[in-house]
Amino acid sequence: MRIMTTLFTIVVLAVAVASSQADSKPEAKAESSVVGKPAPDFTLKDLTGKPVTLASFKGKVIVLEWFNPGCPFVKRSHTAGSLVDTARRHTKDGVVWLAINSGAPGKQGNDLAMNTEAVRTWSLTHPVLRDEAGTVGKAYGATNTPNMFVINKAGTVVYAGAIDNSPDGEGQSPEGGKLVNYVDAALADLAAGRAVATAVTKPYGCGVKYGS
Amino acid sequence: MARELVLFALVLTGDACGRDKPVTPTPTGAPLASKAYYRVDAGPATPCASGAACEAHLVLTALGAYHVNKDYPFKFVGDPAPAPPVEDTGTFTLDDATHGTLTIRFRPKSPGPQKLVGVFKLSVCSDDTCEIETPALELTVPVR
Repeated sequence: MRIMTTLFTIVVLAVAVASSQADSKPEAKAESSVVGKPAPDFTLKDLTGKPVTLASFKGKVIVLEWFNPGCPFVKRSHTAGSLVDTARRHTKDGVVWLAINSGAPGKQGNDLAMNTEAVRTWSLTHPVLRDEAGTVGKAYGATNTPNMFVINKAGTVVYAGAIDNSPDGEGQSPEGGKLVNYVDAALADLAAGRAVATAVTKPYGCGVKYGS
Repeated sequence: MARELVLFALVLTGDACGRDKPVTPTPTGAPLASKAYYRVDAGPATPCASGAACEAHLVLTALGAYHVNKDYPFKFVGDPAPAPPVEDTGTFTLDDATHGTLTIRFRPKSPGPQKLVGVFKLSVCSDDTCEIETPALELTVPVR
């Protein structure tokens, strides 16, 4: 009888282990260590060597876009997806848009000529800043390209994550069937004086090509 | 009774821990599409009858230092012209780090070899880069 009881206990424990393992595999929850906190300040050079300081835009809404012109997700988003005209639409309304390339020298997308060509080909009107040491990218916790951050007029990070909910970069495979541009949504919330409803999402795309 | 319980417990714990899960072998025949970092092959044929709901399988293998990009929305965009049309864009299952299977559903209207034609949207990554590929494929499926 004791053997039977022991065996029954083993079976029950095995079922419990199997169930807990099945339950412990949900999608990784989107997280950001900077949302709700003051935006880390920085000074970086643009593609012409001109220094750009975040603090110089104090009092304005700012969008940071982590950028790598060699990344196919960035290419698709800038040629077919949500990044085609989002920056242009919002900068017309006074939003500051800064692209940041945190790729280390020798890594994919770091090349100056490639960045300059991307600006021309994709008709970008905002600066692309070079963060070759990766310090700014790491300060914001940027993990992917594209990876978006929205900073409100008070200098607080109010959104971090993906540009949209279509992880193909093209806007053709939105989760839930309807394309949502998270930066558009965050900027609309700010313009309406509301708290940003979706403050953190999981970015998709290539990993940022940090040096170490 | 005791023996059955022991066996049941062993099967259950073995499954829960994922032990002895066979690694998908990389196909060796002519692929439907390939580049240096990936190949796509037809999966095992499943029985399919005219007028019935049928399935076809595309097996993606990431090659070399590449792995399947598990976050990518893999899909098959069927060409609407040739019959039989596919019923949706398919369901992708990650088999292991370097293999995944896209299951395509279709309903053939007549018996005989049927050609599924379309584009497989896929992505594989290495530690250095990701690639998005959209190979055009033609898969012949026998229909009873």
